[in-house]
Amino acid sequence: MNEDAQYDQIIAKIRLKSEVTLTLVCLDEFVSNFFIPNNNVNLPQLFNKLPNEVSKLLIEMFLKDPVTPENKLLYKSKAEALAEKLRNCNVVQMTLAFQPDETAISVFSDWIKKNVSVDTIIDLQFDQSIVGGVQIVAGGLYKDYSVRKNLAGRFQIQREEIMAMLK
Amino acid sequence: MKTFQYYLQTTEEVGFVEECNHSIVYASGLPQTTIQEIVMFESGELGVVLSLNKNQVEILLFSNYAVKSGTRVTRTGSKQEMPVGFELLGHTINPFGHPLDIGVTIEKPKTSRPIDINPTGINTRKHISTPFETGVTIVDLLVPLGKGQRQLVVGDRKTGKTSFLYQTILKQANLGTICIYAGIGRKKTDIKKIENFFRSANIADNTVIIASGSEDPAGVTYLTPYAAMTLAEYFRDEGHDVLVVLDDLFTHAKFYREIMLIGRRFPGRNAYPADIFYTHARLLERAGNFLLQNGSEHAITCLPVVESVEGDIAGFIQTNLMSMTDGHIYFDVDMFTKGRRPAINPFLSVTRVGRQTQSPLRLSLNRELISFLTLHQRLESFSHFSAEAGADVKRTIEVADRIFAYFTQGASDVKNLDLQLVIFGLLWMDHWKDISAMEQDITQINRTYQKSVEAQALIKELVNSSKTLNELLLELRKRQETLLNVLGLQVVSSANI
Repeated sequence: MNEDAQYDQIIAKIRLKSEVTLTLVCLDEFVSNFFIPNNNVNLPQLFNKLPNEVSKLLIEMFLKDPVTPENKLLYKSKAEALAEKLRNCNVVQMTLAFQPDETAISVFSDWIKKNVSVDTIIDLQFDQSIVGGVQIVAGGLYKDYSVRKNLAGRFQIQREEIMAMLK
Repeated sequence: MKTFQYYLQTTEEVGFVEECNHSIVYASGLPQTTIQEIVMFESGELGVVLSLNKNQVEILLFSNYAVKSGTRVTRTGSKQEMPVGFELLGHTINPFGHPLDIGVTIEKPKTSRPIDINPTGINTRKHISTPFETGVTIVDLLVPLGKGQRQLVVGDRKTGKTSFLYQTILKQANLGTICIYAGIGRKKTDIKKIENFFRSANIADNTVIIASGSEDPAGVTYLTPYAAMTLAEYFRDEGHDVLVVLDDLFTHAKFYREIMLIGRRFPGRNAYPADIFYTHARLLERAGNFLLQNGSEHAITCLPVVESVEGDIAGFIQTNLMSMTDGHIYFDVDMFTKGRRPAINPFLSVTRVGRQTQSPLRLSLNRELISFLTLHQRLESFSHFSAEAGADVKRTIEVADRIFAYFTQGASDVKNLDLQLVIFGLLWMDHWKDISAMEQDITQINRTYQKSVEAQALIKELVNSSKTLNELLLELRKRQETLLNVLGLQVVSSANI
């Protein structure tokens, strides 16, 4: 499997923006650690902070062979390339009225990755005041499908009807 | 302005602040935004889109408070606009039409206009043909202006530029012109002084002060002269002649330089951005004499001010402005220290279109006066060598001294143009030998002229009946006795030219 395919595989498993941030932190720590002489940091442990599937893929990619002075730079460039790809992922911001569980997050992510693109990740926000539904921000566009907006629209119509009746 | 949520729901576009550097903000998103569009931040601050990059939008912030990274920003769908209307007369406002004084409310005008527009083309413009009175004798006689002229006022600080502007505004406001004073990056106390001057001179109803303080954000200061022009264009279209004073464009250039350097534009000469000439030229081109759609002719006369440093009028901004205006009035620091008030140097001042508006009498007087003062200047330089001066030279120097004394004028003293011509005629006839007597008489003449309808009629008749200075002098000699009686002066028999 070539490197690009490996990166895509990792990105496909990343669902949320918070996971991207965490992965970037881990990659940064990983690269900086093997340039410290005589360090005893357990590198596999670093990736364990990440979701299982991502962690597994990263370990397979970077720690299949031990880090030696000879392959250090190669690993560094791989890690940087992956970090760059992660930074360039498309972000869809979703604001929900409830805190979704892992299953719900996976359902959202799978749907988006299947219907939009594999490198699209979700930036999940939580705002009770929208009552229900969702607010979506993608590519600078904003769409409000929240219950709050629908109710506001409905109330406005009702207000106008009442005003018309009273006049 | 409405709320952030309102604009977000209406435009359905959002961006996120990625970087904030003083008054420049870089944000991602906002795919449909355009240059000059007003944007609103989640925190309520406003900004204007300066430029569009591939991934980012560059926004000029109209706030002293920085916005946080990650703050949402949305489009408003409107360009930079300011409310315009007669309701603003007599008020001091900022470039957005809001009153500067706390507690003051202005009835919001119904119309609003974009602040930064391109100047209209040549087909809307007319030849400058009407004289513009400043009420300052030396300017009206030696550097005459026309309505619609753009005349730069240049000079060191504290050389009397502001007094000249006050006098011009006072004169024009009394003649019915709407005067707009744009104070660019001025101290609050200065603005207050101007406001008080307008009130005390009873011209507040004909004036508007658009001001930005030195503590205002750079973006607001940058917009001030454009806002003044926008308001002037509104009054012009409503059928009024307008005078716009831009005080001063050197400060404006400095604020623009600050914005552009923060915005990472490549610095040019004196670190000013490459488009500084365009920025000012685009502003000053909005002044002129215009032919309106209804066939009437109305002018926006513009007096931009620029400060020089240690008498150096060859600075970058100064020369730029000289080349884009129709002349300049130079306030000489040396003349100021010699006690000349106003300290205008007639030899270094230029008017390119003013003379074409002058009556034959004023043109003739102007020519005579200029050649006399040039001769005097030459003779004065000889007199420095302690050479014994002949009778002719002595007489020339004496007359010149009287002329300069006649030009001396107080800061709130404005003169009538016709009266100036007649007084000059008397002076040229050697009616006065003694300067102090002359000054007393001139004060008396001015006082009488204000009150006496007969004096006003006689002076008008004298001026209208003469086409050249010689004709005026002949007329004055003929009717000297009557004139002096009407003006309340003593009759002197020995009047020789």
